Amino acid sequence: MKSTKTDYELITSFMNGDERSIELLILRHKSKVYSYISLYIRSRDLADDIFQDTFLKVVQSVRAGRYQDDGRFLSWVMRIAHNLIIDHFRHEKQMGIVLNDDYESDLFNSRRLADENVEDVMVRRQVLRDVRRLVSELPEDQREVVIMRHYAGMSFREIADMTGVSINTALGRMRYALINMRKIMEEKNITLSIS
Amino acid sequence: MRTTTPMDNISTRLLSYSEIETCTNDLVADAFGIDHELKAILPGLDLQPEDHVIAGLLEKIHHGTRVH
Repeated sequence: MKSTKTDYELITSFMNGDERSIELLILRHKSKVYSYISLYIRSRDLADDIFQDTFLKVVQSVRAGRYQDDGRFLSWVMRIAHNLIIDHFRHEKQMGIVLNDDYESDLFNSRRLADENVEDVMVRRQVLRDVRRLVSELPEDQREVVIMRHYAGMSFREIADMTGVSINTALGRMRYALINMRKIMEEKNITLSIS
Repeated sequence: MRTTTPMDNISTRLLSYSEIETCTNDLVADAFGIDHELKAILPGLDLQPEDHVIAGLLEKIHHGTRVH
């Protein structure tokens, strides 16, 4: 079920009362938004909540006429998701919540994955764990750029806008991130299977 | 408004970054080979929410649920 309409055309038709359009938009971007959230949030339930809240905020803003199209719908959605993630960590810090290592395991205990081969699930789990381990070793500004480009598919222009730096600075951070990731992989003997 | 000059008629128009930006590719990342390098280091994840999460979200949208 795919639409050839642009994001803006779907938003316009949603504003004109076609609820199916927002569903098409969600389905189009769900993987990028969810992957982005999951790299920061280990609990599946929490990632689900943040995912839902992200799109509820999108809908609220669109209905209130606050969405200004500049051809970067996904980037705007990511910014909302990013703010919700920050809110979550802020709240967690205030409440003094500490997570244990098993917290992430439920990410793979889903019904969808239950149909997959056990070996595949194990590999995917290990890959996510290694990716998290690798990117978590990076300084925050470098980690952001890597996740935004590679997992959220944002352009350098969008990354620069979102992080409040120039494109050159974002590029510089990416360069350092690539150097650091190679170094960390070598030092910690991390090998990531490419899917 | 900028006046058209004879050069505009015989040369390629200079485009701004936003005019040449496309949805799937990023010219900056392409130009510096960044995507290629990233793909060589990091695997794709393609994580997806479960169907019931999407169904629940659509239900909330239908009922006009608000978040703060």
